[in-house]
Amino acid sequence: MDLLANLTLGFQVALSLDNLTYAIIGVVLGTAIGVLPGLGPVPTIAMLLPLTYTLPTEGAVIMLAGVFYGSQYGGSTTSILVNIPGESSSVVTCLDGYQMARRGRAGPALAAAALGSFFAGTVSTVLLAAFAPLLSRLAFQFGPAEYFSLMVLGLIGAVALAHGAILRAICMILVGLLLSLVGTDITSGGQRFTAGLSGLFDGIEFVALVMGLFGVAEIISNAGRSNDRELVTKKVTGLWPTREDFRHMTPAILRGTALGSVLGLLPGGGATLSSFAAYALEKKVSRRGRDFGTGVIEGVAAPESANNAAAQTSFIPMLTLGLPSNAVMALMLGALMLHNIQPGPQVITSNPTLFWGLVVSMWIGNGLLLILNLPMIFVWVKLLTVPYRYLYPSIIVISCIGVYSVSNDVFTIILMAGFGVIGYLLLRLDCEIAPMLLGFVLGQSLEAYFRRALLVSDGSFSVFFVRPLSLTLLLLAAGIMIMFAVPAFKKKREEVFQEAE
Amino acid sequence: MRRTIRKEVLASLLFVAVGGTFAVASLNHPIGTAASMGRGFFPLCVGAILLMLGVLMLIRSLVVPDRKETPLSVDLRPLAAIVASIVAFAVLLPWAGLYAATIATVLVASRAEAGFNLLPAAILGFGLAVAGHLSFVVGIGLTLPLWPSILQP
Repeated sequence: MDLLANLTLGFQVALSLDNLTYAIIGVVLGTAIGVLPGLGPVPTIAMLLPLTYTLPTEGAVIMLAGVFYGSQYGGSTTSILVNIPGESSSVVTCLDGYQMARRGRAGPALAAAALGSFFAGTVSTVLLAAFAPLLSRLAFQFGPAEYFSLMVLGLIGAVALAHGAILRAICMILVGLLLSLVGTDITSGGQRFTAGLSGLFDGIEFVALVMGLFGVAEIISNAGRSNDRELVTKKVTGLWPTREDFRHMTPAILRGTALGSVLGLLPGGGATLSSFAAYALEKKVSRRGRDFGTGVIEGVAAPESANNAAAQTSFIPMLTLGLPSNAVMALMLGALMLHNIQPGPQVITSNPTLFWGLVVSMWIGNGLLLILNLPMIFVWVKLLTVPYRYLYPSIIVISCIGVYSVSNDVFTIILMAGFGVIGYLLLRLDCEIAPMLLGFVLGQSLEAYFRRALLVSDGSFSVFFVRPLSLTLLLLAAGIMIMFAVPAFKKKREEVFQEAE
Repeated sequence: MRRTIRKEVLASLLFVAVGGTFAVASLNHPIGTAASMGRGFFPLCVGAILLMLGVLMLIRSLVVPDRKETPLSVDLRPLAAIVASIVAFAVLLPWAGLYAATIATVLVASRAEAGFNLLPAAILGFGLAVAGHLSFVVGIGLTLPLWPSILQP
């Protein structure tokens, strides 16, 4: 069997001592940043990116992926114990998790989150192994016109499912697209929009942009606000859920996993949306729906399973089509490109060790996380007592060193500071930054496919509409746009997001 | 009534400015035709679309203002302190070295929080410098200047 041979290869890669070490470093770091509020996976992965330059590609990707799904586990701990979401995907976990903790049931809540996440991680890893090769076979039929349309669909879809005003998000994508064009034009070799700054000749440094927009901007908004964290319980006792708990949480975990796996595939889906949607679904189907918010175990199990499932299935479109569905995947895409791997359907066949090694390491990583999070929970509780004021200067220093090491030029540090100011102002203006990052990551390929498609068609724009696959993709994008013009749907979407607030 | 800057207006003006700047700057580059595009073609299109959407948003925000919108507020203190701390690192690193740059950065960054005393900040800065030295320079072999250049032989 093909799959079996592939998985064997995956195990060989993932179980090598080096890669196992990278996976452990990744999930430990991920759990730590997940636990700490105010430090998300995006700035952390960005911070680690320059440091992974010297690692082999497999190791780098395995480690960065570990940071991502590790942070989903860690985020739930903070939600349950402190009532502050460690991650945006754990916002809804606060509702019932914190109430459970207040009633002295922190242990079962943490266990429900961890077991749900592990189950979801296992299922979505299998999905990744099974579906990614299928999708990549389909993608081999794509020409430049199809790729262009696919990216348009991906960008529009990402906006539709994101939180916030649609028109603003579309504008943010376009800003990102324009910024990606700064520097040397790949086709003609000429310079564009550099304003004569030599530091911009190779384009805007990806790491500086991400660190500024996500890391620095976030620090500016958090610093100065002394956020006192109150732990409900210093000691977590009685971890294991009762039989009654299991009876309630098992169906919730199954539903959360199914919903999360599907939503993770969609552009703009990803972990945050899935946890919101899973909570809303569970509240609807549960027989004790009215008790939600008072500390029911399903309210923890479902969203936590969903966000972990989505975190992993969102790798499928990124690895097979080169289409990132959220900011973290945009970063992973950036990481692959830094290692000279052009994401697309050929990745699975041309870099089988990378693909299958990553798949297997995710499953191993999930097992490690279960061990890390349940018996060792006290370590993370301790970490919660580190005040933010010691944290943010450290993040700044590490970011500065990391960004400097990319280019050995202080210009990149200044660039990061600049994007920090821009990111902070955009946050204050209620403009979401994630769409801008997606635009920035996809910008150059979008232009290249646009150029190539029109070169082949001799300048006729009909090429995007006469090819059936391309037309379908564009119609889907148009359909999404129209859906948002319909007031009823718009209201529904807002409801899903507001349910938890 | 106090006059406040409205977020939606400001955001749309920002989009108009960015779109306009890129569209105009694209005109300095070869545009070409759709069949053989110059490097100005694509940015001109994207810039123009952004400009149009920005104008659309501006009109909408003036005609039907969003009543739920909260006024714009910017915390100048953390903004200034954090940006200055990063700039300090960039300026100091090449000639004063990692230790001086790190300590200065933490001291400046500590000004973002009221009640963050200078002494604990300086200790944190020194600790971070040592940690940075050990993990980045000794550990993964980055080449960073450690000490002021005048002290070096």
